[in-house]
Amino acid sequence: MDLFNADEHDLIVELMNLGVGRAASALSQLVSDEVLLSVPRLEFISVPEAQRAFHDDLPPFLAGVMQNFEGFINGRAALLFPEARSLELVNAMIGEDLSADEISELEHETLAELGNILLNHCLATLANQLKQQVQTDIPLAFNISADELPGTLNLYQGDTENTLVMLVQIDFSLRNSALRGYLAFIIDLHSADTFVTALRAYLAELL
Amino acid sequence: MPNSSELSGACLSDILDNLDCTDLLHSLDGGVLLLDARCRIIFCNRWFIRHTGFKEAALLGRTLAELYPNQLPLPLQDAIETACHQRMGRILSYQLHKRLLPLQRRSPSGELRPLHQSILIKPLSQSDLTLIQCLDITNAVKREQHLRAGERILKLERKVLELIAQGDALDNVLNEICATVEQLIPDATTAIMLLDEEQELLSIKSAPSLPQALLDSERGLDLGNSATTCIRAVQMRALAITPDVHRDDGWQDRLALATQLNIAACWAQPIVAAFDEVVGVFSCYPQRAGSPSEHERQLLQRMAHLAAIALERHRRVERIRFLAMHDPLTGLPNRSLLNEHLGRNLRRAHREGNQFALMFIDLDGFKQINDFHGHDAGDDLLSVLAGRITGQLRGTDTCARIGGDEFVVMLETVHSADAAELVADKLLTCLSTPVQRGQQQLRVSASIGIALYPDDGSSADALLTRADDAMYQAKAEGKNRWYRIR
Repeated sequence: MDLFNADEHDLIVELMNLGVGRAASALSQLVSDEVLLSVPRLEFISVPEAQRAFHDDLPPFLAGVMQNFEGFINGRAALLFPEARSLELVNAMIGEDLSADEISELEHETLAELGNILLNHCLATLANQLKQQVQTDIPLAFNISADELPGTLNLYQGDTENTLVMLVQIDFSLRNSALRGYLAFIIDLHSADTFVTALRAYLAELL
Repeated sequence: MPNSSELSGACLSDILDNLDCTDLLHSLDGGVLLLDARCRIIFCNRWFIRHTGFKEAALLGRTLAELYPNQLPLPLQDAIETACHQRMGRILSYQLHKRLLPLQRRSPSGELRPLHQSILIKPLSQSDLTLIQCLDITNAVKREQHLRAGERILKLERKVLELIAQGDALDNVLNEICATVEQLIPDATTAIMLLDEEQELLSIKSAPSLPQALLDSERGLDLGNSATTCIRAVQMRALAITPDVHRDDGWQDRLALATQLNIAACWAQPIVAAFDEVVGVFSCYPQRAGSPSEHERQLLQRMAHLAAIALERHRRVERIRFLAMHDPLTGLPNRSLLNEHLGRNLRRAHREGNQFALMFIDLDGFKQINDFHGHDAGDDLLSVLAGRITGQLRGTDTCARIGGDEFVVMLETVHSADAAELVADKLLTCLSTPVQRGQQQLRVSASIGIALYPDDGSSADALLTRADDAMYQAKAEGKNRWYRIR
């Protein structure tokens, strides 16, 4: 999708990196250990493309955290992991070396907080840098199959023509544990105008 | 006409419209607070009032930071402010924030315990209010701790089982079992005590955390004499508990020791091997007086069981080793064990400059016994004669059966050839003395070849060949005699 020109796209990548970096430092502080996060890839795609990308790129079972947001852009954001690795991540976060077979109630909450911190920082950074406002709802953690993902993310809830998906790869590394996840931002295009305007204003100020 | 679902839908929305929201929030089993844009409490439900101990009037209009000065964790304060000012929703999970609000709840036994919680902070849309929800997850935390503890035991158990399976030395395995329990029951030392074969004396086999000097000085507990916790465990074949050693008669003689080692209580779990045989005790000495919890009882049981498996396996390995090294009929060492002893004795004699003797013994007339009286008679005769030979020897000497009616005796040290010849004479006498078997009288004699280290050879092979040759010479010279080739 070429809603954004190259400069705008680069700016978004930069802002996401900034947000993810802030999330990493917040997480490091929380677990008293170094948490490294990086964003190797970011792309804007349409709903059908997202559907295909989820199907092709994601493992069959997922653990995730979803949060609604509204403000200068409206939509839903989600952090997605291979389910089999999510527990490893939680264990690394809380410094446990035991490997339970199933994710418990408490681990579900921990995962929710992890996603919460990450998504909040990304959205807040995006909004703050662009001098905009955004607010987020409380996070919801889930375990689903990849086929259920579009339903869970309400991908087809609104007008698919007017929905844009920002798919971001994110690499985690902490305490000898490394894994790749995805951030998916489902953005209502009715609000994308504000987004584009804000990006242009930011870029104009740079020049 | 509206259908029934439309009707009930209409009713439902009617009910919901008229629902008293405040009443609903008060009846929730969890804390609910409403904060204004400046983080001040404008509503709190009954649960919250109950668990904070504050009066409602004292809560309203104040911030949590004001209510709990210097007690509110920074991440919580931060999250509340971010939510109230910037409208960002947050969850604070228990695992990442072990302490949130300083709330307490009463345990079933009536004690006040910290209330474990997770907190949801939700900025309400279409208003500048923020909803704080506090969930009591104390029970989930307990379940989780239980689960984790179970996993930890499993992991350690697996480690011990691996050691057993790999055939690690018994001492290592038992030490590992002790170390496992000491990890899981902090501030407790442990010991594994074993019963001797007569089942009279209980002595320490493994106690990695007790001082070695103490272990050396302990002679063991006499089952007939005292009634310590460990002995009670053996006698009752069940977990014996002394919650306070200072109030236990069985411990009066050992109170000084208990004080020195900081032992306040003793829990002893019998180690029960195959055929329900109590072979020892696994004992745990906590530094605080008290009885084991259900979880600790299970742990002691499981570890005693592991010790039983390790001991059982050790016993079997020993048995197999014995069988591999001994003659099943007479119980004497076989050729392999003889070679082992001979090799060791050669090295030692060489090192210390000793003399030692080897005697090759072959029975005269044994074939006739088998032919006339049958193999059973022959076997019985061999058993009796084997006993007679060992009866003439010192404990450090070896008598091995290396063939049908062939024995080799090794006298560990001799001062002279005469000494060896004297033993040979005694052996000739005892071997030619008739053996009574029911009505039968069985009689054989023996031909003995003697070889002396170092005069007659300096290697095992040379000495054995020399003794064998000498034995044939004794046969050739009329049997029932000894011979030494000079």
